[in-house]
Amino acid sequence: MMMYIYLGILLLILVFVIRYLFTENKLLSQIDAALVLIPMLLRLFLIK
Amino acid sequence: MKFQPDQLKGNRITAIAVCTVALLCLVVLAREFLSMRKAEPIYPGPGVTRTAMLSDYFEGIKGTAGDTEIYILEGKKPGASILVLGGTHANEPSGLLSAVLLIENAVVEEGTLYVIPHTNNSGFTCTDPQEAAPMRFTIDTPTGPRTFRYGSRSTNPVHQWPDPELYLHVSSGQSLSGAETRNINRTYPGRPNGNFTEKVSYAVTTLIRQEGIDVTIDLHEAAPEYPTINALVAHENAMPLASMAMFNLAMEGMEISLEPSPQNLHGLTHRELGDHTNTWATLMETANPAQGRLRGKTDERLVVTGQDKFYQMAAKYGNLYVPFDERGHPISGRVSRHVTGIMQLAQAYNDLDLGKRIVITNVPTYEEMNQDIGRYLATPH
Repeated sequence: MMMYIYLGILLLILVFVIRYLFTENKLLSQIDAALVLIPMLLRLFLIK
Repeated sequence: MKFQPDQLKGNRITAIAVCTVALLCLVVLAREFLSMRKAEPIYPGPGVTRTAMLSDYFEGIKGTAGDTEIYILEGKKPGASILVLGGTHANEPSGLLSAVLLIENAVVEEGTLYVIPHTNNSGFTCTDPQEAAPMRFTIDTPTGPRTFRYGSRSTNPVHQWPDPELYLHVSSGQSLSGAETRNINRTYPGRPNGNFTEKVSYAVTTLIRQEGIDVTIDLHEAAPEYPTINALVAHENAMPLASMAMFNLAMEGMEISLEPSPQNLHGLTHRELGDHTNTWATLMETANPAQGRLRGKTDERLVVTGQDKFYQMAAKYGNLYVPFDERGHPISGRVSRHVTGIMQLAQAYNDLDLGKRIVITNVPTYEEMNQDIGRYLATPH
């Protein structure tokens, strides 16, 4: 059960990061957000 | 004009571009990480009469990453039974290799030998965080290289998460740090309704009970600065057996210390399997510098050669519990210690004359394995 709550929180943060990536007008900040996406997606898909 | 990267403008098109690059990275990394879920091939030798799955003994792990193969080597004559647990900790590779060497070579004339090469199968699917450990290591055989996974001490967090603040070992009431909840060698005898790791250890305990295993040998490695090293640890019930084996090993030229299983340290095989089953529970440790805190570069070479200049320095200062010179502690030597220990425990069991025997043949000698274990691993195909 805790695992699903954790994944739900992760999904929520992921949505915020993607939203930030598409609304930010600095390229470096977009790159930062994209880098954060990688480990979050790896965990969301239960790969790492 | 000076280049100022923080002034570069972004827009929807750059957002899509960086997302695409991130997704490409994700695909490459995912393929790499997922490759650790594919088990290395093991080629059963002439002595393997059948295989079973650990879930045959406890349905609760069927179809999960905790289920794993059991190789069974039955003699023509019934007799005593020994269970060898390799890969309890997947970052202690001589346990896995010793199990593989037995599966691919040993022939049992009398009694039954059970071998589990990946006891914590989930631990082989990831590495330990912040250890910079290699994902694999290679052993050269006369007919080609064989690659094995170098995994984690604990269950993959993908299979059991989150860790609690404290891990309560239910049958004893002992509290440990939360991360130990994924260390299978702190969860014995296990629980059918416990967490993922406890279910796997429960399956091992059930196997021992159902098959009436006489002797259990759990194979480990430890850092050279850890006191219990090059050691045979035995439950008090197994002490007569272990002390006889220790003398036999000393006669073969292999120095090993005998340590009693601590009464108040719970969850370990040598304590709980001895307390909760009728097996004589033992555990062996060799020196693996790739696990130590004093090591230098952590790579495949260190895992295989066991050579490290920082450990040589530590030995000069008297900070280690094993001798350490430029020859290091190669994996061939570590495996030869484990396999010879298993053979001598079997011999000691027969010497005790308990009315049944186990006779294991076709296993190379300590000196032969010490030179190069690659010669005794099957041809990769």
